[in-house]
Amino acid sequence: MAVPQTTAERGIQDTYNLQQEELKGGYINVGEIERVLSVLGGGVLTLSGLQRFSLKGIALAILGGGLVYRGVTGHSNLYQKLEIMTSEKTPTISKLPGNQGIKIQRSMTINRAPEALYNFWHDVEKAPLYMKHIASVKTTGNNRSHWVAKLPMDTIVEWDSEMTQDEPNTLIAWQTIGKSPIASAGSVRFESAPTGRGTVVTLELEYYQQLGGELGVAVGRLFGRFPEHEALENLHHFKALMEAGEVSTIEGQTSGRSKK
Amino acid sequence: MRALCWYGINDVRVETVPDPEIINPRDAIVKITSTAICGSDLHLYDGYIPTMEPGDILGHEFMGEVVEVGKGVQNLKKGDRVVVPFPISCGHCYFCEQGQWSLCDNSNPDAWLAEGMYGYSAAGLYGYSHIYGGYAGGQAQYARVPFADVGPIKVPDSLTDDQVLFLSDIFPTGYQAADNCNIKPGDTVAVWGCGPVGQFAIKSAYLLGAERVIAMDEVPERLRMAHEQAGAEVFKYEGLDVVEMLKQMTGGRGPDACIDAVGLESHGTSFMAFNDMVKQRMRLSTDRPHVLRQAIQACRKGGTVSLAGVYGGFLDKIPFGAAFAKGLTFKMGQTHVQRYLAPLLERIERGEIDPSYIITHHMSLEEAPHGYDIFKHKEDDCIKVVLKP
Repeated sequence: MAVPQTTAERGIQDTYNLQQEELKGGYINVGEIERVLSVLGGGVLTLSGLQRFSLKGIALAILGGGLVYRGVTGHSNLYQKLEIMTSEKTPTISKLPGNQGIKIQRSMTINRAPEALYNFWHDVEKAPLYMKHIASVKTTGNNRSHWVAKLPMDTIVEWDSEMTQDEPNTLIAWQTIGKSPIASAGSVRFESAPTGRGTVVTLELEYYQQLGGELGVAVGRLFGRFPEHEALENLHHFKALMEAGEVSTIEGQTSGRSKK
Repeated sequence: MRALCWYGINDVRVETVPDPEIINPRDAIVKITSTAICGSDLHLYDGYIPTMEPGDILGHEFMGEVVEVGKGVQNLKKGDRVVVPFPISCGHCYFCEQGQWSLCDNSNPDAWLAEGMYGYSAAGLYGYSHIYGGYAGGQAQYARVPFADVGPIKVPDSLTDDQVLFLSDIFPTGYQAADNCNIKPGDTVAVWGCGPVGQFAIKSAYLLGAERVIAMDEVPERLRMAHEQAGAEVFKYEGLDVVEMLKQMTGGRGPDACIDAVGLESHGTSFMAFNDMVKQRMRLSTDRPHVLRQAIQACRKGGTVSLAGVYGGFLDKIPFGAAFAKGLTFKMGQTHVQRYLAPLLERIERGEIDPSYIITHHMSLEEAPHGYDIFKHKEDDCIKVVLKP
């Protein structure tokens, strides 16, 4: 196959690749419904095991605990050994080769021309307008910028970023530099959508796990859901800002919960 | 201000809560002069819609006077009298621009919630659970109206609140249901449900050129209203083979279009309907498709089934083989109210229809819990309750 050029062509290539990929590569190998049943069933077993003060009770609790773990993480060692996967592969999140970390990919179609979107994204100091946890961004010269994020529980995280690629109206790429709590790199691509639909914006993010081995991968996988959700939310906000001029919110609205 | 808040099944309370404020530049604040209880509010009252939180303010059919506008709103000013459409729509995404306002991409702040359940998120709605954005509703003295520059429509002082209030939801809803039937001269339209939406579906079908409209319900007052006020041929469906009845009434062909103005809480007396109700009470299934099944069976070959009634979750045992074999068209969805506001206001101004005829009860906002109760149980001949905050 020739090198894919457009998002549509890349989509076909990705699907082709997914079908060729060996099953044992996937970490989340337990299907959604099975996971819920695992947590429920495991919970029941654990509780009933803990209520019996006996060897049998301990055994039950361990079995229950294992099921709960399996449900929560979506990973089954047994399945992995048997090369079974009951979960569906999703193109939005995948493992980087060699257990390096995870890759997240999301697209969104925005009803504006590529130029307008590229220009807004390029102005990194505007990132707090559409990235929920980013408190401030300051350019520091030489295609570099300093980012400050405010996470839940008032945790402040800071890092420096460098723009590595810049093709006007088409592509912006970056990576974290220096000491950073989470090593990551990313890119955003702008391509015209079919007539009248605007622009397809594709965001790719790579997070490199810094803990060693399987534990690092497990943590990365659990943690991986959070950046994937963040990426999607940020794209939603960027789209709303570009199309509607503001990001919809109900924060600060009235309700019976804040009654006088 | 005073507002009607949801606290659980059959539990709504009028409480004092903070006044709404401008949050985004395209917001406006409306002082509400009239607000109604919708049939779909009963699904919230009965606990069938997930993601409600205790304290949520209900209500999505409201109108009033603009008291404040954000800096992004140029076309409205303080003092304007407006009716507010129930879908919240940004006006600039692909769907809004296509006139599919209830499918807006940008008005649901919790889009991820709806995406998890439905694959994609549609527009936010006032007072209709967090899957639809969690916006505070309009059964209150004031409401915050987002995207006020593309939603609300100004209404003339020559028309009373009662005459224009239903532009917010149920009149366009009935109209869209009929519009979706693609009515041709000579057509017969069958309508299940003679509640407020059904009433407007009947009227709209005639306005759009239907030759005959046949309507069904179990409640005598509603059947009488449908016959005397809207001009439909009516019958009570309890214990009756509806499919055969409609076949005989249409010379063996079946109605050209079938409108379901009942939705997920349909009643029935057959065993299957009883089965549906038990499953729903036990939360084994979410929606009851009794009416939908009948509509599919009754519709003529090549006809259209148009769903106005709200569905939320999953349906069991739908005769899809029948639908396929007969080549039916299905049309459905939340109403694109903004599309119909101007044309329907014009019809009201011309005297073609006076929507106020469906109102059976006026009461103050403070009596709203009583209003919900009689509306739910169809007591006191209740068909539509309008509240004055």
